Amino acid sequence: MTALPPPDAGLAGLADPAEPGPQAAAQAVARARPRPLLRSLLRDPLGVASLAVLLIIVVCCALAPVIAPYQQGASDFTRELSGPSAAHWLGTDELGRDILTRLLYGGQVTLLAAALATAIAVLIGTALGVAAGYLRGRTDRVLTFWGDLLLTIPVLVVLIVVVSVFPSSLYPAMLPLGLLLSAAPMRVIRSVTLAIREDLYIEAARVSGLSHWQIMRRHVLPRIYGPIVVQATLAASVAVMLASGLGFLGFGVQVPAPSWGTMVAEAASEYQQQAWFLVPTGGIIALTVLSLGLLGDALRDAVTGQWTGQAAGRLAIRRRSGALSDADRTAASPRTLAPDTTTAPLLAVRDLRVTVPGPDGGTVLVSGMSFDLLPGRTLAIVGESGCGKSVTARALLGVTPAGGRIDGSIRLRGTGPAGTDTSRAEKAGGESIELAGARESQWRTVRGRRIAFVGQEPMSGLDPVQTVGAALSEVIRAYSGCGRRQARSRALALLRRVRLDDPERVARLYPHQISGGMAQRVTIARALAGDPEILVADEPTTALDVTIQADILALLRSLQLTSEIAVLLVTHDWGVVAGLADDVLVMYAGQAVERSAAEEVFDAPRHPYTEALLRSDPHGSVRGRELPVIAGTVPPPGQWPAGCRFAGRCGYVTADCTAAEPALTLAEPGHEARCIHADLLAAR
Amino acid sequence: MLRYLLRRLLLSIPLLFVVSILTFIMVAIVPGDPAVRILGAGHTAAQYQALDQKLGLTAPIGVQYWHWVDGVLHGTLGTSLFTNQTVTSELAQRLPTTIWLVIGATLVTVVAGVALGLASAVWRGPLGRVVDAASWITFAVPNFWLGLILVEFIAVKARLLPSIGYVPLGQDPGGWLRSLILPVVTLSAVGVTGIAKQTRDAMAEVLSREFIAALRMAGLSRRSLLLRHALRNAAIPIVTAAGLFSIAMLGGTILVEQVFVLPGMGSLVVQAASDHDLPVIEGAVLYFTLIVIALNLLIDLSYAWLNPRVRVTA
Repeated sequence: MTALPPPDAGLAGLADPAEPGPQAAAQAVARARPRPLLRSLLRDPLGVASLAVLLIIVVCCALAPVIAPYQQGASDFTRELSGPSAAHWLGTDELGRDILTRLLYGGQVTLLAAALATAIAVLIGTALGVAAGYLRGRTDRVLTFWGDLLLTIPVLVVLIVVVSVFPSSLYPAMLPLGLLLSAAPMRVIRSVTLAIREDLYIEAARVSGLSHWQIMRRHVLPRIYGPIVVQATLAASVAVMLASGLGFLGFGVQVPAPSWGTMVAEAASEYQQQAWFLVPTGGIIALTVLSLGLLGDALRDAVTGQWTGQAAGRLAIRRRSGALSDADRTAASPRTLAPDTTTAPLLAVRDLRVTVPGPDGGTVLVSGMSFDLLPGRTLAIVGESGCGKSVTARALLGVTPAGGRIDGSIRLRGTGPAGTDTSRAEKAGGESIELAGARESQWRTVRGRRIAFVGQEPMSGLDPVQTVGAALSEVIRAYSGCGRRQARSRALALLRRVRLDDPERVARLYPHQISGGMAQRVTIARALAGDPEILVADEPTTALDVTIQADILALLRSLQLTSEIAVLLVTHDWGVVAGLADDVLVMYAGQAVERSAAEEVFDAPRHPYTEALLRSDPHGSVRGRELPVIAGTVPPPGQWPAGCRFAGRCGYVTADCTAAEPALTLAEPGHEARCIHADLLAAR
Repeated sequence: MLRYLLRRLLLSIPLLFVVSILTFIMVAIVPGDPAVRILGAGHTAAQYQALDQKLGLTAPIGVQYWHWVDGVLHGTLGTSLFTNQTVTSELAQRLPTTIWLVIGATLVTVVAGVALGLASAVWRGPLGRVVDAASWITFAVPNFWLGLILVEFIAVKARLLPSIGYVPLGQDPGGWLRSLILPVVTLSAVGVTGIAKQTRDAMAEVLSREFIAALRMAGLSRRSLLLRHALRNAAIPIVTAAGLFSIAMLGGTILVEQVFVLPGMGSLVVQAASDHDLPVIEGAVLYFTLIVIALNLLIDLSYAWLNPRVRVTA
């Protein structure tokens, strides 16, 4: 019937090989050291169960002459079409023959035919797949085209042609069936081989003068047996189904010999007298196909689990509980933070904490973050990758990784009904809003309209199947509810505002047709569409070429000058900080370690981490001298050490550093640092 | 766009040749002499000679194939050995039933499958497990058997729908629809759950991509994110799967027409196969292949509609 693999194989075998799923699995397989597949399989209860059911069915059918309760063809005319009984466990058919006996003998035909087709499919599929993946080039293109072709042939139609000439045996039809089923294994084996081919030792074998044939046979084949076994079970499930289908149509056996398919046809002609007859006949086919499908699924998991499952399992974040979170709380006491009082903050963040769910109450990604965003000013958050900068930035828009939770306070100022800017006052509605713990519907009134976001990778921030103009019109209409035409003219105005030449043309282009710099201007235009008061820019220039970086920075600066917007800028580039930031907040391992005006931080850093970061900045490096780097890496969330989190990489470290976690304290007016040696740094 | 379609159409020509050549080769390599089988036991040598000539089986296989291709190019597919009708007229009578079955099953597969997949992508948990279980069950249960069960429960016991037979559309549209419901459900069961699973997985992949987070942070509604952006981007693997399912369902019509006694190409080809009516078989295979090419073209069209990159580069 369907020539498709079982549901959980997805269409892995058939899908575009360029898609990530099968490709990644293929590479995984390639890198895995072959481990006993059976042992991995035996850990999966569903895999064990399906293997057991399958073995029982196959062995019982093979032993039919020995174990069948009745002679083949024996009839009991006193019990025609009876239901299950002690004498006939599965009942009898219209001639009083024992159904169990006939199922066992019929299975011999159906299963043998399916095995034949499977063997052919796997042999052809493996041979062509290895050839295509190993030889690549023209061979690959021709074979891939051939495989695509096979996939579009309606299998059953072709099989009918064969059985029409040779109606009393299933076996001749299994040759073309095997050929047609070889397309799926071929695709999978090809991508696995492609991945293996890149391995160094294959390269070495080639250099040492082994022939292609020897390499394929000795080095490639032994490593792909896992995927081959998986593909074999999947092909077998389809083959059983099709062999049964042919039997149902009346082909493949000579009456009165049984096959599973013909027995369903017999049951079909009697179902008005005895519906039970349908149950065991269809049931055995379903059970066999299901077992094969589930077995293939379990095997596939075992094959890929040889690398992903186990490796990932061991690397899983182990969280050390209680003590750490208590330390976080004390460290983040708001008393040490002196909010700027000269201008009321637009956004006041206090003790922000982001937690992702997990064992032991989850893993803390960011904790104790407190800062203010002021109109017309830029706060830069600086730190290495993995410090929690982006997590903090996105939390301001209510977006957290993997269903994380936001605690603490994010308070957005209401401009009040007496505010000068009426449109903003309307949006603000007077009262200030607490965003931490806000509902999604409440967040939606803020996102884009009051707080806008510009991300790191401009291309991946745009819907690939939407034109630039459509993307802008969509958000404009969502914000203002205006008509299509008006949205379009506003979109063009926005594109002009971000200084894109020929906005009419750009509006018609898709993301893949524009450059990274243009795409970033488009995302900035989208961010401006709601006339926001706050712009959160997460590494807006990191993914761009150096010359374009400068353009984008100049654009951001001029936008800020004209619209009194508050900017939160996430970056690891001190050059960007120097160019844009008024204030700087340095983050390390999920917490703020230093906070001050930008000049202060450049001139006199008070935290060793800031000092080390500044020293490793290529902008300030001396020609001919090695660029200093900070040894070690940022500890990942959940593995933060007790005491000062930077102690392990710090040049100033003393015994006191690891005793207790230092608090963020005022080192001098307007300058905070989380270091017990802050004064030592000032003295240098 | 037109050029893209023409190019795709040109690429399907090899399929026509591969399938028809395969058909010829298979008939040739499989042991057994059609003429003998048609005449049965007790024929005379003269009868045998005459039939062999009529079938053109004395010529080498290449020549036989050439004759057939020549006939196709002139619009004739020969005459049925049994009914003496031309193959084209036999097929013309049978074509609508099969086409309606495939169209109906494809529509149901896509609409119900995508809806179910979307629902299980949005409300994960129990519904997702139901879809998983249903996709395994529909995968394992033979569709001819499922059809029999549906006939038993819905047509015979509950008397809700006719159990067998086909009413032409022109004769009685209501009856036509009723006669197609059970066959279409039977044919599309595996496709619906398969597409549901594919949709759910593709949606999960797209929803984890950065542009969805960016659009969410731009304040778009959940509805717009799911339907306008995620589903549109997830559509390409869904269409690929739907194409493969519809080709599989085209083959499945052979079994389903048998179960529901529908006068389609599938039942024609089964009858022809039992009768060794070679011209009919070869003509039917050609028609089936043409339907596949039409389906492929439809898939290519939807690719182009869904993915701007295809439109521009092709």
